Amino acid sequence: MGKELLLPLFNWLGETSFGKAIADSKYAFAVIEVFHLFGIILLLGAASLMALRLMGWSMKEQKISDVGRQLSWYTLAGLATMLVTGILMTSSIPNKYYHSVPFWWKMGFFWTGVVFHFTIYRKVTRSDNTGYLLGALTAVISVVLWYGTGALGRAIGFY
Amino acid sequence: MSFSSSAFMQLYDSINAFLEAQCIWLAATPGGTYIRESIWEFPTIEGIHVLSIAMSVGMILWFDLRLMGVSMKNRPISEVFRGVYWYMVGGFTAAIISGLLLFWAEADRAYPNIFARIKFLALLFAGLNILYFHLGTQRSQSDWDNAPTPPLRVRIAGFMSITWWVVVISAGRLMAYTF
Repeated sequence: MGKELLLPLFNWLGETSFGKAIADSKYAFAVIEVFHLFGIILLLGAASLMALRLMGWSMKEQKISDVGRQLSWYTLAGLATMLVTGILMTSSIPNKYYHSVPFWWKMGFFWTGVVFHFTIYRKVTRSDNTGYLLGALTAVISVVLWYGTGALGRAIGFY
Repeated sequence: MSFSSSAFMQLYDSINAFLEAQCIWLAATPGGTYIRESIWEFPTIEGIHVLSIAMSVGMILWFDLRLMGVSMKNRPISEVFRGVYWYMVGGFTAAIISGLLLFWAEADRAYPNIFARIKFLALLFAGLNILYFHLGTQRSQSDWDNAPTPPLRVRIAGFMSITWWVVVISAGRLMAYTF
């Protein structure tokens, strides 16, 4: 549904010097994917701990805003690592990704996650006056979006 | 000298052959074959393996960073530990179970693989690091539990833990490329 609009972007990525260099290299893709994995582990680790705090299951001695502030840098570092390494991986085999169904589901989860992160999640995790229900809902949505992104990423390798 | 080294090589070769035979047998069992040839089960188990690693390592990371004096410096180390412990154990249990199922299915290919060996060795070192920290370093925890920057040996324990997990994850991902 409209992914054709992005086809020029995929074609362009495949023609870039880094895309060709990664495609030609025997080890580059594997090494980049390892860093991609570190990015998602950082993101999932931070989102998990934040979710546990919002649910009231862990780190209750600390204020939500304290936990949120401490974890925000790791979340951003994880996101940035995922994005850069993800673009590099896509540029080396754009055709495979363009035609992969789980890839587009992953993009849906990832970009929804990014928008959610910089809007509601950011507001909720920086405040100590949010109601428990809204906090818990934020936790569940962020965990579903980020763990979903990870699971769908794994699925690209199979389907 | 030449006698003893050749005796050693013979022992090594026979252990090697024995373990390899066990791995080939394991992968050929009905259970191993079932997982390997399945359409949904294998990818699902692998997905659970990756996400449970993210859960366990993602949790242990906050404890390690606290040990290093990098994050949550104003909270007691024991408090950070209590906050992540059960989730870390839960994630790790799921990672071990799913990992054993994957090994069951591909033991014959994992056995000679260099990255598989590096991964298992790094897992062993991660375990030894925990053991050394728990039995030795941690005995004086009351002295540095509240310290924003703990003593050097405590910071090293946290750093070594992160290092071993980085090796485990890298080698684990790379072994799948070389199967």
